[in-house]
Amino acid sequence: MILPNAKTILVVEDDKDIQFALKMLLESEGYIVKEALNGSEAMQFISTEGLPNLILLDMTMPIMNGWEFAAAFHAKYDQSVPIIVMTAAADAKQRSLDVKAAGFVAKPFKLEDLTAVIQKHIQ
Amino acid sequence: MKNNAKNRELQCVLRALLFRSSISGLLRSAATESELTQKACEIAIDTADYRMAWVGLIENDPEKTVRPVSRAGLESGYLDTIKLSWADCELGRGPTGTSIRERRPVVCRDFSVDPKMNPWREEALKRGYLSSISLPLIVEDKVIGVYTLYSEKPDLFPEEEVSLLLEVASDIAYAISNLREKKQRIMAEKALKAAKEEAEIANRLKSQFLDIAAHELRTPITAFSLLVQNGIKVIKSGASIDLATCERISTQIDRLSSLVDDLLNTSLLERGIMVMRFSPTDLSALISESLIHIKVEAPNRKLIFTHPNQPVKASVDPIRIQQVITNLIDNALKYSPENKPVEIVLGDTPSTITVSVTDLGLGIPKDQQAALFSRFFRIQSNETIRHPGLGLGLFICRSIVELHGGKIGFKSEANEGSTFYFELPKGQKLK
Repeated sequence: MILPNAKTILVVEDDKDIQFALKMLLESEGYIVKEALNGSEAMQFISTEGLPNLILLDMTMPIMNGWEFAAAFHAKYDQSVPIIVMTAAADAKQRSLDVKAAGFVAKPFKLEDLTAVIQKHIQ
Repeated sequence: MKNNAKNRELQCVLRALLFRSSISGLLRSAATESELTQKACEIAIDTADYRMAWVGLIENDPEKTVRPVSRAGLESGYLDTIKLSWADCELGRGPTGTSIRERRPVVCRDFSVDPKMNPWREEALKRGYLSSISLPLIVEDKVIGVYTLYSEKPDLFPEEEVSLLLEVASDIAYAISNLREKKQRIMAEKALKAAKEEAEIANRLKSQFLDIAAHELRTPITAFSLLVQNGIKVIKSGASIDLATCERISTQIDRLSSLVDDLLNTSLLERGIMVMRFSPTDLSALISESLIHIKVEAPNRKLIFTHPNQPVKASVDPIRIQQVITNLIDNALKYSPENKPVEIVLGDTPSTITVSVTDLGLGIPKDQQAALFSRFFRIQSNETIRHPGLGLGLFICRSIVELHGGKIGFKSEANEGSTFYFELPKGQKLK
């Protein structure tokens, strides 16, 4: 059930199954979920659909990866839209600092951890 | 007359002395062995007025050849017209061969009469050589070559001169030995450096690999875990999960198991304990079977299989060879557009079987072709989909084919596609 004042989360992730599961999960939490398969699709989405309330960002993606996306995004848009980094790398925290993210989850993560980080940072 | 002879002897000793005193410094300054032997010849002509000087090194071929490496003075092709040996045969019984074999200086006082010179007399006299001395070059108690000097006068090389020239030869041999040691040392240092660099690269690849492996394993685990957590949530809410979700979960498990299989196979191959179980197999049937499985995974792709009408039998490990075939076809499907076919051709000759897989994809960039079969290597490209994997597939394929005594290779053209092929001997060959 999506409420009229529901918040929008943009999920930038190239793995379609992770993308699929996240959409189901976050929608069941009452969020509107938008999907992009890489940084470039995400930039395009924002330029046509406007800013989301939060961005969930994978790092290793083809075409435009998480680092490139974060740099392009911060250069062009409101710095206050929080980015949450999702990464399978060992240095998840460092990566979130690299891209000035508000928070991070290390893959694989528990649902509660993800929703906690989202609730803490979403505007 | 007697006085005259005495005089000539004295002259000989004098020139040898002069020669002896000037040679050591020059030898020390030579940087390479060929520079050294060349200098040794030139000094003999310049300071001691011999007519010709040359250095030969011994070969260990069946003919026991003496190979001239340096020469100076009036030579005019002499060494190219004659053949020299250090074997105990006619060609080896001259001054050169005798000196090498018997490890002593051999003096030939008059070419016009000395029977030792029979094979070479004509050519020697043409060039005005009338006497000679051949001195063995001895390095660490081993004769490595010979140093020969010629004079245009007969009856030369008195005892004192011979002993001075022996010292010269020993100086030359010592200098050669020093240079060889130095060269060996430099080569050993180079080899050590190369080995160190190689180890560093291997180490870097390995740590990169650990990063990649962790990432590649965590991705399906994440998808898997999210799908299951989601399922639990759905079931708790009283609903049920659908077939599509179960299929997605199953795909992630397959992805995980194939990664783990690759890791295990690589470990077995690295330790040399992957066992091939050879049995008579019809390759045609084996490939058809692989295609059935692949078609389930990729129902929309066009696969063309060309094979001889009769069965193509060989002694192979059917499971491993099927693994190679599946891997090559999977790669072809992965790296070529959905609407392009993949062609598999099975060929049969009396002694070998060839299997080739051709795609019409982007091809492999030239600069990445060399490393393609290396462990942990992953192609770098501007691909639009990131292909999961550990960079072990082709390494495993190559190892399996080689364990069958076969060969694997590829041809690739940019924007035209790639053909991967392997060739197996028909008889069982354990390696």
